[in-house]
Amino acid sequence: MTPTQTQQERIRPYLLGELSDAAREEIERELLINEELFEELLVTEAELTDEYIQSKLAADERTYFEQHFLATPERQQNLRFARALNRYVTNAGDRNILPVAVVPSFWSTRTFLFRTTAAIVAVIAIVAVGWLGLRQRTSAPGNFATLNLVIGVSERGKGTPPSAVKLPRDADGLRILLRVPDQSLPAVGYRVEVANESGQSKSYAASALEGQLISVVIPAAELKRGLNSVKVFAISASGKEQRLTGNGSFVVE
Amino acid sequence: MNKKWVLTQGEFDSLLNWLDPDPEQAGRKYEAIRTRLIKIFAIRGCREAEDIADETINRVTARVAEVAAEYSGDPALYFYGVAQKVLLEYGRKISGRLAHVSVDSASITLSIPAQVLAEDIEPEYQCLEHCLSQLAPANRGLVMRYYQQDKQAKIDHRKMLATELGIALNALRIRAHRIRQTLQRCVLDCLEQQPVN
Repeated sequence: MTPTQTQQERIRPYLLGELSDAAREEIERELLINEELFEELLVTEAELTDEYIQSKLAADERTYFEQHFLATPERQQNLRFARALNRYVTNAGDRNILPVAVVPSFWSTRTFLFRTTAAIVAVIAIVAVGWLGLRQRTSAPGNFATLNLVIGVSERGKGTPPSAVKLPRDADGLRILLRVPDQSLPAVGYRVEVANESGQSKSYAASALEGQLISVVIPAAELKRGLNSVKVFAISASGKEQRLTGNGSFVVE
Repeated sequence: MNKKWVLTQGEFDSLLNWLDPDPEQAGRKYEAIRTRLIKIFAIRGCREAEDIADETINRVTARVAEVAAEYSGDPALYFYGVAQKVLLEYGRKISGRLAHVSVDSASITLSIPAQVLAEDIEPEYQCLEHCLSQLAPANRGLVMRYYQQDKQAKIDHRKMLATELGIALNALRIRAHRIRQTLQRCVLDCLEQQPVN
């Protein structure tokens, strides 16, 4: 049974001891009979623990958290686990294990003046995007066109044309589902490098789906018309990258 | 608190049968009720949440023959009524034992051991590294990407991740949490296997 919006919104104040006796009883009764609401409670509990260790709770919430929330051994274990996870992910980010967007080949060939100017433009763009992002915080993931690609030995020499995709005017971007070849390296993530006809390339983090399928999203603003080629890199837990054999390509019309 | 009910196998079977005529379903419902009672007691601040949940179940079991005949509705809600009485008794007991601690019907305040708030989590960290290596690559990648980044970047990043996976943001949130639970269970098992200093 899907919890109602009201029930979901009450979970956090319930966990922080902010509900009246009547509201608390109501939510507890529902928790006993509604499996999805109970899972929502567990998720919110973990999120509160993360907020506590990242010092994101308000002062009164923090006090309540320490005096009541941490009263049981189970929650004390949860706190220690959350600390370990937080530290691990932070360290992984510092060691660059986590895939992040990078622009390697393009920037290395530009002059200092060009890079400085571009940096200023980028800062302005980030501020603008951040402002727009704040305005659209509540919006759901947007409208994406989807393309299926197979990464393998190029078929272009055999006369097979690359897949073509036409991006609707209102699309937020392109979601590419890539079928990748088997790999010897167990991957914790993937990096997909997309290069356009001008030789500009950009990297994107990708998610593994089931089997040998991975998914990457390219924002519409970063897609160039014409032929685009795709390379895929598997990333191991130690941060080592392995280029997967073969290429993919597609044409943006 | 500990009334030491002596339960018979017959009473326990009656309880399961009341929950569901199908033994497998009854077992699942029993576990679900127990897990949720423990959680509710823990949220109310009871350090002995498991014991109190078991006490609640014992009391219901002892009365199940008469209750099952007359009660209509979801049995889980009957447990809740009994749980409230048990919680009240627990509150009285705690307030008698720790006179300096304020107790109300909502929650029971207890001090937290200093080591809980301490920063040393090296054993957990070591076990986490091991457990992450045991996860399926797709799940490992998802959990690491889901929990990375900060503030607005994190919100945008999660939207992007949800789109990549072709699922809604809330579904991603639940999926990441389920992997987190698997990881945490693995870490707890790993910690139990470590030698005590």
